[in-house]
Amino acid sequence: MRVRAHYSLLNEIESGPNATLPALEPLIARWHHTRIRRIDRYIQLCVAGGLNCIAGQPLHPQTGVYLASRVGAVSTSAKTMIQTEQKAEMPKPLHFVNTLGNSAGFYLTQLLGLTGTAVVVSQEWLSFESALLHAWLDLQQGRIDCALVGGFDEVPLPTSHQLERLDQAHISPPPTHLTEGTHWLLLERSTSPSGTNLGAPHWLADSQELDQWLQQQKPFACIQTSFTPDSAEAELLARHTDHHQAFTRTAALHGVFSGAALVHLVEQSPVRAPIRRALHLTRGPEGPYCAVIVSLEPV
Amino acid sequence: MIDAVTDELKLALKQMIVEECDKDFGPEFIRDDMPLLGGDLDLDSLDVLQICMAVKNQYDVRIEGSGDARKALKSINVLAQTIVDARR
Amino acid sequence: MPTFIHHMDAHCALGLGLEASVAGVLAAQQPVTELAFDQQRDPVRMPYCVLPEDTSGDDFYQYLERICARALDGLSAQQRQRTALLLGSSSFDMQVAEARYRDDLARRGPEQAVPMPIVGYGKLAQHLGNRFGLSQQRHSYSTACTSSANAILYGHRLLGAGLADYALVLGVERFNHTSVLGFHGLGLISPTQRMRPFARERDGLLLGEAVGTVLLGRGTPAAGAPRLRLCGGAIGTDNHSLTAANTDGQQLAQVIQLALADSDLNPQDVVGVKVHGTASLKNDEAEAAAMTTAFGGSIPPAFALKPFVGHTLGACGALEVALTLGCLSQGTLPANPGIEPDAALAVTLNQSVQAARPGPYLFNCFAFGGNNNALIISLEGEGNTP
Repeated sequence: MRVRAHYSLLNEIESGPNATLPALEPLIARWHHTRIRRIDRYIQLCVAGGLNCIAGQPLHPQTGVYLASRVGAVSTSAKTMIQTEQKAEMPKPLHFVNTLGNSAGFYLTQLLGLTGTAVVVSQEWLSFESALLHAWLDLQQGRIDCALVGGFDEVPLPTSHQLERLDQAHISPPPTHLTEGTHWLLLERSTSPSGTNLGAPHWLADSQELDQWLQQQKPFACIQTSFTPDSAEAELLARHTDHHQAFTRTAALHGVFSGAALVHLVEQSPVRAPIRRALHLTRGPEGPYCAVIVSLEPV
Repeated sequence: MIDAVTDELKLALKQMIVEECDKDFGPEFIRDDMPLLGGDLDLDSLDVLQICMAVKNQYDVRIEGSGDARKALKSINVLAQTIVDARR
Repeated sequence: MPTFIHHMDAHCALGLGLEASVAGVLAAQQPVTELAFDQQRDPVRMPYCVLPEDTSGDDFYQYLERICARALDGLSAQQRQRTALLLGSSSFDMQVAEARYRDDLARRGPEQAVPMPIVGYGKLAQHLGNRFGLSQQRHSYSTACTSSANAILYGHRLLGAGLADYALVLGVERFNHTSVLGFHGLGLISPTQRMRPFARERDGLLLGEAVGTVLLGRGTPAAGAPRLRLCGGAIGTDNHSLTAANTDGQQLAQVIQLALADSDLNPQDVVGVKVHGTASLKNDEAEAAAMTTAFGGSIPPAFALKPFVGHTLGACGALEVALTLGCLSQGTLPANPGIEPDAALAVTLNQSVQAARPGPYLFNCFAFGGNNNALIISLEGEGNTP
């Protein structure tokens, strides 16, 4: 899969009662001049990310849309739940439809004029890679010519609630920041040996599988992890590359943070002759690993 | 107490429509006799549901089914009158 | 290597298990319960297709484990490691989240209690995958009513790419206030408490809870089992409106045509259609227009399953595939007796249970937000009973 365009927005939100969220409307307004009404922050993250990745370039009609979110429209779902459980009232129709997984994709595909394949997938901390795999399945079979892959997760306010949801409220000291973001790749089938290419995401159940898999690979100029490796992992990675780096934040991370890491790696392209490949490696708190090869040659 | 169609009630309804439908215009954009549906306001079926639920929650007046909604949402004048009539 | 259906199961208002559920479909049972929401400030009553009481005392998670255990029964530990898990739902464990929030409200009060306390669409699949030692291919689909239909399609594609040997697809929908009151607020529930898809007097849908299970495998299942081959499918997007399909049905027709092309079939090859059929005014109009476009003047025998089990939202894709295949495996085509067609719609549902013809069947599944899915599954050879 060749990368035609990429975009990533990573916001760090200071936790606390006065937490504020940076406005997303200006990011949308760059590419769509009339304000879109009735969309919540979750949908804004989707639309802002998607439009800025496309950046006005014409899209092939056979473009599939592969969306990923770990937690979905939490703030609107929470509003709905307050309405039904605390206030014992009917949920507002608009809130209810915005809790549904499709709504974000509806607005984005409408703006982009796309009518083909669209899915919303999730796989805990590897949700972005799950969407990437779906794009790969359809690209390599020739069902689509182009794939727009986007992952987004929001920080619902108040942050104290979100830290509880993420099971981070009882950590001492609790995280001072939370991340939210929207991370995108526009991919096409590789037809010529130019540009940055991605391999299919590859799942590895544990460090033993990771070790074995790395042994079978040609060398990588760099292995970038979206987590801080523990000492055993650092040792393992050092056996397979001269250079490994971590793309992490000390904040409570959002569900598709690994998408930020992958887009960062694509941007940096830390490859040097003669080794023209790097590796994106991610894992959730309890594994498994997922690896994506980033290469200046077709993978 | 709502027992008559007043300017205050009509303004409150206009504000409610702007808010429930997340519209960019202010309440002053909506004239009392302007058609709420099929006209310049560009409201769709989801907006109608939002408005009907807000009317129920704020005025305890039930407007159910698309037929009744279409009748009640003819204009601000008609909506206000519908609410006043239902509360009598 | 072609994809075959190796196992299917259905837990719905008709029964806990495929046998009871299929018997219910063929007897045209409509088990509707009226639920009272007396805790609401403005109490409402609503028809609902409730899962029969589960006497095991299992909670939601244990219940899903039991269903998975049944589906995976014939697979060795090594085969399980090569089994992908694909779960589709519109609400996942919302029921548990709501209950936890109510407890929290009672304990800490409205200021402190955390609404929507459980997050992570992928949690259920992760839990079940760990519990049964399945492959790391564990994907959850959140596309509202097409969730588990999309899961079936990508199960097929994962197998086709050789990334797994089996794919366990679960369609899951459990009763919860958000979905049920949300649909009520949209005014989509049938006031007469009956679903009559494509009928002139259709007046909305009933909701239901269910778990539908489909186990896909590369290659044919054991001898003696009916040969049900997943030929292909497609996903399309109709972004005409957030809450209703475009009544011209053109995008829906296109997804049917793409599914046929993906399966190397022509419209005239199709021997039956499981319609989506939500019995709402506009969506049935759109589906009927799509069928007319896709099949011309000769729409194959069509039947709807929602009148028997309700609209089970994210579960309906997998559940309705499992129920249909259960009927076809017995050699019978389901029917919707007593539903009189709307002359304006050109779709007449099959009126009496008849012998199922071998050949490809089309499964329509459409969702809010314009996500649409069509699948083609073929009953091969004689419809023999396992």
